[in-house]
Amino acid sequence: MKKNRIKTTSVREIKSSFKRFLSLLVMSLLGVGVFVGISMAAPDMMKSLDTYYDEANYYDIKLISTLGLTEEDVLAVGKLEGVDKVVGTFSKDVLVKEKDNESVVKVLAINDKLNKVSIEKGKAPTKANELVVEEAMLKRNNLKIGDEITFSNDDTFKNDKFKIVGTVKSPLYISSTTTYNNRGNTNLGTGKIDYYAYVSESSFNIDYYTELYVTVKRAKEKETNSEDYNDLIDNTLDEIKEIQKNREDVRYEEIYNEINDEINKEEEEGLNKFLLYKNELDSAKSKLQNGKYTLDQTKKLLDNSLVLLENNKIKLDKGKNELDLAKEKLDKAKTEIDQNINLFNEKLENYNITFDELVIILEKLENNEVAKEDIIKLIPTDAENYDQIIIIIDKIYELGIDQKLIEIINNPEKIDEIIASIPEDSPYYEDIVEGLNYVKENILKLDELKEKVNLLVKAKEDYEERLNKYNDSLNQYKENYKLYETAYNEYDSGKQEYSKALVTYNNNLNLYNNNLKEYYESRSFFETEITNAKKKLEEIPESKWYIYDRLDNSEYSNYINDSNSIANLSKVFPSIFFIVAVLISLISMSRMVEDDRMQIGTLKSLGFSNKHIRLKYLLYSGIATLLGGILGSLLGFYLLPMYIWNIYKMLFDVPIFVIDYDITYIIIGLLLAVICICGTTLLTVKKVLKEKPSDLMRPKAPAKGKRVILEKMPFIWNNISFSNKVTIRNLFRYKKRVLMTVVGILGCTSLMLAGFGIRDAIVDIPKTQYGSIFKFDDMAYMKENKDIHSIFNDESISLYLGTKMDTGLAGKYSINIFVPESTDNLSDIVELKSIENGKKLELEDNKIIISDKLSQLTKTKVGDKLLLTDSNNVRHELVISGICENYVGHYIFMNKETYEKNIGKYDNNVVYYKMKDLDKEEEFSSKIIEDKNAMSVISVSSTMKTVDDMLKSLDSVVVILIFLSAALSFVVLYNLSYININERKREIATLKVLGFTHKEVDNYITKETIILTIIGIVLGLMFGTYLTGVIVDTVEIESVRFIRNINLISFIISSVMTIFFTIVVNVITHFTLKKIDMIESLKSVE
Amino acid sequence: MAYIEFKNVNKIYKMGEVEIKALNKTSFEINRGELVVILGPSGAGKTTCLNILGGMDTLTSGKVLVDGKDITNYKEKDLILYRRNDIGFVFQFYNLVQNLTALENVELAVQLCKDHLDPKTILNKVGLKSRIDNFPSQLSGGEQQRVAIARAIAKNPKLLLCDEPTGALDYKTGKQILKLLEETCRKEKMTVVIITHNAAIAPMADKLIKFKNGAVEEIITNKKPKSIDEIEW
Repeated sequence: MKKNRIKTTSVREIKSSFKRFLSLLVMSLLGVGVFVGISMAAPDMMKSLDTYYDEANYYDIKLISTLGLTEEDVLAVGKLEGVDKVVGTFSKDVLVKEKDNESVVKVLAINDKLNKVSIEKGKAPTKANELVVEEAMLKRNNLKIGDEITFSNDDTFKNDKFKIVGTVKSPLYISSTTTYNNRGNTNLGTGKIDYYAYVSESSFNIDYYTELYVTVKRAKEKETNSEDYNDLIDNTLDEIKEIQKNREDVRYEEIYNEINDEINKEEEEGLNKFLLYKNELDSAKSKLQNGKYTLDQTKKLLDNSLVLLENNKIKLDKGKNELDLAKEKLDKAKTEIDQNINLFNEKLENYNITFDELVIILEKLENNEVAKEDIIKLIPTDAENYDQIIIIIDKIYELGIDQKLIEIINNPEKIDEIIASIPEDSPYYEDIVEGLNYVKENILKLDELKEKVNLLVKAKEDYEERLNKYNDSLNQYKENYKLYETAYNEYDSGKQEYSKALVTYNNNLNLYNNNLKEYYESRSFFETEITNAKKKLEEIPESKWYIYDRLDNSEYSNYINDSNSIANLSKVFPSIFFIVAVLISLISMSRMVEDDRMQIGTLKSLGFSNKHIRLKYLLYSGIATLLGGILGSLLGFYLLPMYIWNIYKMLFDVPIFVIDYDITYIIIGLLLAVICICGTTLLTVKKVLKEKPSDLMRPKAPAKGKRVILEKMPFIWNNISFSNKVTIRNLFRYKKRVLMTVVGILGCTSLMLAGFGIRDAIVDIPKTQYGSIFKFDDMAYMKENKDIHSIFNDESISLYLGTKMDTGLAGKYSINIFVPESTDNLSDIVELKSIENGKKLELEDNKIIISDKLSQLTKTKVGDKLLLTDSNNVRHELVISGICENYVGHYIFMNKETYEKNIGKYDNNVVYYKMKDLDKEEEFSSKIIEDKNAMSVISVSSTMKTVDDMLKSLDSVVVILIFLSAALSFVVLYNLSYININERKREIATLKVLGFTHKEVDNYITKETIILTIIGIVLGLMFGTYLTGVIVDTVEIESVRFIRNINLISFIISSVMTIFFTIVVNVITHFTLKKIDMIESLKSVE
Repeated sequence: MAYIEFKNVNKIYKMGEVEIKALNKTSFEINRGELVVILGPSGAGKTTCLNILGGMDTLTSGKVLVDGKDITNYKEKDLILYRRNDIGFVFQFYNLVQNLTALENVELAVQLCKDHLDPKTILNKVGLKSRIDNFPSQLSGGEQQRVAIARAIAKNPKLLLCDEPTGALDYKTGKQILKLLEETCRKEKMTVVIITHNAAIAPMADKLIKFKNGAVEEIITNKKPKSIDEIEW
């Protein structure tokens, strides 16, 4: 096999000029590496997101509706040609109270078909009272798994209290929580959603879907946000829009009918109920009337019986009186009788007998039943022969002629007859007759008595008869009286019953009246309700579908924007690397070819064709470029995107990083590098190859010395030291090298400055925004209807301003609507400065002032109308009266009148204030939260800290820029210096032979480098300023305006760093120079 | 005692494992004001000898005395001063700084020395009065070498070392240069050492030192040196 010695020399050349080879390699490495690395960062970011989304079955299209969505909607959308899957699900923004904090949380239903979440810790919620939250919510609020949180009155959920059972990561939210949380806008609380949380579907208590998630057929295969993907989505969006109107109407009718039916049903039911009630009332009324009648009747009866009773009473009383009179008479008679009897008894004194005994004996006498003893008693004791009489009487009774005696007693006149009847032979006749005579004598007296007795007895009998009569009458009376009393009692109890019944009746009447009143009241209430309900029916909001694709998810679009920023950056930044690398390679190679001219001549003279000779250099530069390029590609392919990814992890929380194995950029980078470097090699070789071999064999005439223009100005020239003159001449002598050096240093300086510049553009944002634009110390989100003046008239507050903070959209940009209560001290809280001339702006009626970035994004200017959508989705068009300086977020300022006239009711919901003493800041803010006046307080210093944290990530970007730029600058400077020395080895050796000290030699050479470096730095700073502007423009994110101002210190640091590299290179040069052998000077020119 | 003494000088270059003896026990003496020609074929050690004499290289062993000073153990700094003040060097390829004019090239050397001569006068002497403001590229080879000589002698050195001063010149011009060197030696009482492989010019020397294989082969003292005009080759 024929050996190709051209190749041999080419490879040997690599060994012998390894530094040159290495510098070519490093140039290519940096150029290709940075190009590939930064170019791949954005595709890798997109690929990572796409992979994450695919794994999570992320939605392509999201539908929400003002009236909710139904199963029919799901079916209707599912039938569309482009639609793959449709899933209806629920979500709701709620105010959550945990401990002292109040946060707004978006609660979503876990769904295992689309937007699959991953449970990071704990377990997934299965019960209706379980939920999982994002990690940040636990951290920020000192909560832990197992704690319970409460949703403020929301009937969307079955429970109010939820137990945290784990933490969750949702693909719907890819913003990182390392710095601050904002999960979108809401009409609750502060207007911002702080966190998201997931519950199981069973926790929701609503009968319609709040949103539909749709995936599009074949979209998963496409990379998200790629053109193919977007086309596919657009087609499906169009399809959905076609059925939108119909579905909206159906839903509206459904809701309308549903509510209407309900109202009708309610109305009917209500009316029926009232009818029944009325009937009840009426029957109650008639019952009452009956009762009243009965009562009245009773009353009448009672009254009548009372009259009767009273009459009876009168009669009774009269009878009583009569009776009493009779009694009196009777008593009188009795007394008389008693007196008579007493008198009689007095007469009977001589008798051993009382009146009553006498009456009895007399009676007995009449009946002939009288006993001996009785007869004895009839003998007065004072009679002269009383004892004889008694004896005779005894004898009479002995003889049994007592009959005769009784006859005599009864008929004393017949005494003789009687005596006569007594046989004279009868014993004791004479005594008897004598006794009989005695009896006759005394009995005569008895007769007298007897008569009187009879009278008396008769009187007494009469009396007794009358007494009996009286007693009978009295008894009668008493009986009657008793009857009367009973009747009266009856009447009385009747009357009491009547009274009771009357009270009951009255009570019932009152009750009835009350019920009646109530009936009328509730009826009118019901009627109003129905009317209102009917009115509301007409107020059912228009059924409107909102159809969103992924780009409408702000976190996604932020991600896309940032990835685009990097993509943009990859167009600017690496190209500078590339240009510098190519330039340096160009000089390297041309120097190499120049050095080799004699060899080329020799080869030519040996008969090698140009092709062969070209091959040598192509091989050399090609190997260097390819090797460096491949190495750089590999490093760049893996390391840079990973690095940038890690930086962006501060901003985004996408759990997987995927390298997009798309080698397009590597091929482009390598091709570019090879074409540029080998191309320049070919060009230089071509120039040399044109010369004749004989010319080539002769040394190339050294570059000619020339006079410079400066020499024509002797007053300057003569005052320049000799060595400086040499330097100046040299600068003009090696124009190409000078140009290259300047461009190289310019490139490096500008890249470094760009690095710092980007940092400056961002790093001062918090200071400017929260120092010179927002001048307050704290902002407090107030609870509703608080009297802010009493709260903030506090001795620790030096100044405060109540505002209405509203959120909305201008185009697709989220805006904050800032409405101060008064404009008196507005400028102490927010400085509204014109972006054009820095003049203070005033709020005008019916006009708004908008922040500068918003005006830029919406392409509006002073005098234009801005279309904005408020938080209630109502659109307004307002004239812009000014554009103010602002860096973070989009703001629209308007005065209270403008707000009230155009948007809605004004109430203070955010108060901005300044502290007298910042040490009391925390004390005050916790006070107003504890007093339940404020929901949350945001301190400017903490905000600044958050932003500062975020900016730290940026420092890493700057560091990588600076590192790469530094590497580039170093290689460039070293390379140029190397070439410079190589070219002038002989000159340097001569100087050494002439006795120049090392320092003098260094000076001789480095003076040039220093001057070139300075020129390079100055130009580099100028270009760097421009470059920073370009880069800042391309990487600027939507919601933040970067400051277009590079700090002096950045200029200084970039310059100093370049100077430092120059010095390092000069030190290396110094050793290289030292190594230059003086013997060189003796050698012939090759 | 001679002006320059070269005593038993050895110079060994190490090229990896291989040792090359460039000078092997070389000894010679040169007196003040002598014109010395060192003659020898390529690789005989004459350039090494010149390098050592010129303070551009150090020796491995032996001793070198110049004007009574022992430069053997000179440190780099001393060597620089030695080169600066005591040595004038004329190169085969003139080694002028291309972007300096003739005068400036002389001035470049002169600016270093305390005890120098006036550059313009020197250039006059070497016959370049009318060309002092020209750049090397505007001068012919002979003229450039004159400038180089002027540059060397303007320093008023103790020793003028010339390495093949005519190597790159044609015969006529070469002769003129040698003439100039001869004149410098004779008129200015300058000690001049010319290294050449051209044996023809040997007769012009006061002393001829012949080198062969790294050692002095022969030293011939010429009591009556010929003028260069008398020499033809």
